[in-house]
Amino acid sequence: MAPSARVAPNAPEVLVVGGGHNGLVAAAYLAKAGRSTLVLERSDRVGGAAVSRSMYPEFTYSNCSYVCSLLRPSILRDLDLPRFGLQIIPYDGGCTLTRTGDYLALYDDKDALFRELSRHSRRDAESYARYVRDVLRQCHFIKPLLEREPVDPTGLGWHNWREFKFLAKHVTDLGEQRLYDTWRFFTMSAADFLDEYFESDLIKAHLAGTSIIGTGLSPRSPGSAYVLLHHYMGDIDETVGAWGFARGGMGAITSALAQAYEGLGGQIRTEAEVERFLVKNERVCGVRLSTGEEIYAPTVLSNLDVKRTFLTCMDPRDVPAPLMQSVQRFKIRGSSGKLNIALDELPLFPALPADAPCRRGDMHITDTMESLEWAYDDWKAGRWSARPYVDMLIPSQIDPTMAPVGKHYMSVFVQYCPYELHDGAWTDAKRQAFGDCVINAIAAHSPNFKSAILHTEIRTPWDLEQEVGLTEGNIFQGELTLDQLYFNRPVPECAQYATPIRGLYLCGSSTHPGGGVMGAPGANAARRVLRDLRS
Amino acid sequence: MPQSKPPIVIVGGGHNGLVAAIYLAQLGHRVRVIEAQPRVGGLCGEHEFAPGFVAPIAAHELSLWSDQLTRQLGLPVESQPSTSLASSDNSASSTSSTSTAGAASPVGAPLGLNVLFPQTLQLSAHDTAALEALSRQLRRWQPLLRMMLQNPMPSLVSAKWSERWHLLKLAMRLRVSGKTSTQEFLRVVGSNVWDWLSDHLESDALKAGIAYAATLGNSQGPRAPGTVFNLLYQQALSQAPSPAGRWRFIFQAPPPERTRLTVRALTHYLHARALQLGVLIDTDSPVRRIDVDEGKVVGVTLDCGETIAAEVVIAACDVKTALLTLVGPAHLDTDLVRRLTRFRSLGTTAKLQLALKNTLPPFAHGGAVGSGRYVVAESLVQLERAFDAIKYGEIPSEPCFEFTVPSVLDRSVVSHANAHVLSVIIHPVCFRPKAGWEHAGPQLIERVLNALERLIPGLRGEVSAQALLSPVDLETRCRVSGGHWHHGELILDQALFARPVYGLTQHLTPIGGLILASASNHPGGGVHGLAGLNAAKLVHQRAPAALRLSPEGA
Repeated sequence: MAPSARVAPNAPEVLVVGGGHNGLVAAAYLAKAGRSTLVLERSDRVGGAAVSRSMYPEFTYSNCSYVCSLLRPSILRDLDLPRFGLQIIPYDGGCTLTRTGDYLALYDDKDALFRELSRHSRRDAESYARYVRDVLRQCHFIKPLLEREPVDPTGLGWHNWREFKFLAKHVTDLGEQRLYDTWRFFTMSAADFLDEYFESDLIKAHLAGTSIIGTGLSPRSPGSAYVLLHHYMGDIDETVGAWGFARGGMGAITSALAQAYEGLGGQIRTEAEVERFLVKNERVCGVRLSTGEEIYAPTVLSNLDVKRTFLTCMDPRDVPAPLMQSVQRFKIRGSSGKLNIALDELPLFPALPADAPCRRGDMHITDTMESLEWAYDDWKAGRWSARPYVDMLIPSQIDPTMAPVGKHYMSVFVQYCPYELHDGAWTDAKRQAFGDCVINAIAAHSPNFKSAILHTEIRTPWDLEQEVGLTEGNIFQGELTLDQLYFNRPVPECAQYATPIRGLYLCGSSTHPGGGVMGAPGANAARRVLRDLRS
Repeated sequence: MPQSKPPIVIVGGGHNGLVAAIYLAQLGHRVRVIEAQPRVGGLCGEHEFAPGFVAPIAAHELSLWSDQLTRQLGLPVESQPSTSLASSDNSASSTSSTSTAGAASPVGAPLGLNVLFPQTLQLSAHDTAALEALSRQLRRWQPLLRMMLQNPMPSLVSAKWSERWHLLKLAMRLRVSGKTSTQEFLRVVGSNVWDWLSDHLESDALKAGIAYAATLGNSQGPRAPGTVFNLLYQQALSQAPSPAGRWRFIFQAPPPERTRLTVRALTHYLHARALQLGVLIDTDSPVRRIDVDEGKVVGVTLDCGETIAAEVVIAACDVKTALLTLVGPAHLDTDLVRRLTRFRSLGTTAKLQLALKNTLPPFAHGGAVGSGRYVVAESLVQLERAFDAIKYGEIPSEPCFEFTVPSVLDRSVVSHANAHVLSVIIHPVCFRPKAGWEHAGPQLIERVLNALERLIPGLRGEVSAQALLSPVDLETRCRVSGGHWHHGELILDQALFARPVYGLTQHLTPIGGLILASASNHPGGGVHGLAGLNAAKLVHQRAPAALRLSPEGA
């Protein structure tokens, strides 16, 4: 148990605006360090985009994020989350179903994987180990940087110098050849990177899927290889690249975080929408809620994305003009859709062998690199992809808490879906048409799928923005492109979590190291706040 | 017993090869250039595509060539006034930023990109101011960019102090431009031109013109991250048009008193100067093999069987031709061969030559077609869609292209009194369309002619002959892998210290005495001669025995 708050509960030292997972992580670390902290959340529950909701009787949906890998093990340990019920169940491999009735499955078992890859290309089966080795190398390179503050290339100061020395040593330790490989990896497209290992279009298409999740990029866009890495660098139980389900849905993560935080003396107020960050003499002094109530504190962390923080929730006169311009130029573009489906029975996928473990993993239906490009081109033109990239999972196969016995919850993540359509705003009819497009695409591989559907929740980026407050429904709170990473994320002035407004910090995915249910931005921001409070 | 040293052999008589030859000959070396085609010039060369009509093979304007290099190489620019010393065509080009109705108002080269617009382009006060601000911003980065691009790249992790000092100087050059300027550079260098231009400018046509110039020669469109780097590249190497040497933003074509070299003239002067210095130039002499013995070059063997002994061979051809074709994988380690094979170099540029027998009609808006480089890319969406089409092996439905009319200033390219040559660079196209060039070629020509007809009514009727050089044709004719404009994609993962591949960054190869000097090297393509110049300097500074990569690197 942590020391109790030093200050009376109704006069917190620190406010955290936004009860998404990063906000909770930041708040928990602050509470752990003895700071009295208050989390303010607009909706009726914390969690942000990591929530479990019952949208249909007896079913639980992870209705935004749906799988877990990136949650930092250090956070899991530091906050003792398993004690608060968090249990992450890894799943085994995934697959892609082809239009011709064939499939490609990935297995954890190396021999099974080799046999399966050889079925498509012997050469690729032999290259796969080299591919994994090379991607893991990049994971090892980037991991130490995830939980450190980015250097400020123009800054002075002792802490910055320390970070710079660490980075310089980290980079030069690579040696020339590895540095060359890393540079290329961070600037290449996923398609070009995959071309260096594989010849089979199906294998490439399967692996390329993670390079487009949540982005406004295609596998041929430079920088998409980094996104592939971003989705590979998590680990569960020391297995790098593994993904898993949180038992009870993604809400279990944020619920455990909330409990851990409250156990450390932290306070949460839900249904408390912050309308304005209050600034006086270039210092933040608190917030004002939409009810008019004002809460004062000398330190405020915003878990909202950078645009919402500065462009929506601040008086423009309080934002320095250069910062305003930088924030306006930061690109946040929604590109992902989601369907949450309650099913009366398990959908059959006849192409897959019976009992294939990949049924319990992520299943895709985009089988060529070209179709990924068409999907992207549709999005650029302001349309949802006619042949979308579909990433579907049925967590209830492993986690019985998500659905009644014999029935199932299916999560369907879709790339691409625009925030705004070329012919105007989303309407119910258009949303339904988008949903139908996806359902039809899945039904082409599953004969009983449509008839098994009990309920569908269709979410466009616009819906995500309305419900969760993510600008344009971008799941990363900002594109993960080279110009928006590391010391550029979200803007150079805020890349070390502090902002030009004294006492105001950013702790959401708009900051380094970016999105996914990682918790690293929150943890890093908390460390920065604590360092500043101590000095 | 003293034996006369063999000459330095230069494989490839393109502009880089000629630059290297002249530089070395000036310093007293014996040099022999071996060129496969009947004429020197490579992608800067020309051909008579129809009787009485001569057109540039690929490059048709020079915005990256420096006057300093002209002087340094002692090019005889005054010697042949009949061959296209450009005195600007005043009537078409003189303009102010507000155009008079009906007159041509080509908006000239902002930021030294040498882009003219064939349609009338009225810029708003906002865009005028924004371009001015961008120009100032680019001026602040100019010292860093020039230093980075004009010199060989230092190694990033070298223990050598000379390399570290070079790196430090680069960092300082950036930092002295100011804190905000440094931050902005580090932010935009990896960004895409679509977003960067849209953040500053309103006019879609203006953005599209600049974005076209930025993406020329590569396969990535304006929305692709990293394309701002290409824009900075072009901008950094291009020359200040003002006689005062200061960067200034211009809306009009260069003032009349300034002489402007054409590609044809440049190739001519390079050739003439090389001959003047006693360089031996063998044309029509394709090289079959670069001969290697015990890890060093011993000479070259031509297709006809003749062998030429040499201690130093400068391969002024693209890196894949040089190492994979002419040297051969047997002499290279497998890792290098693998890297070279993966060096992306499928060309995306086609060239269309049009012969106009009787007249050159004016633009639809009434102005005469002048001597500049006109870019036809009417919107960012059109440009992006063209790049989308090539992903699928298709010809863009609305191709983007640029054209010049060399015959406006240089009448020697045509033999009839009123004839003209229209030189069109079509970019992007796919290297090998799914339908094959036999079917796609005519389709492409048709679409370009339609677009030209809209801009210059009556043009189609005047075309008496035409010729299309696809990227495949450029590959075959000029012996450039992929027919690629930059001899290999100029994109961040193949740029700077990663160009062309790991280990070959500084012109040296694992083979003693073999030096690389083409656009495959840092900095990249465009007619600037830097690869030839830097390679030649290296050859002059070191003994042949020292011209090799040590196992640990240069």
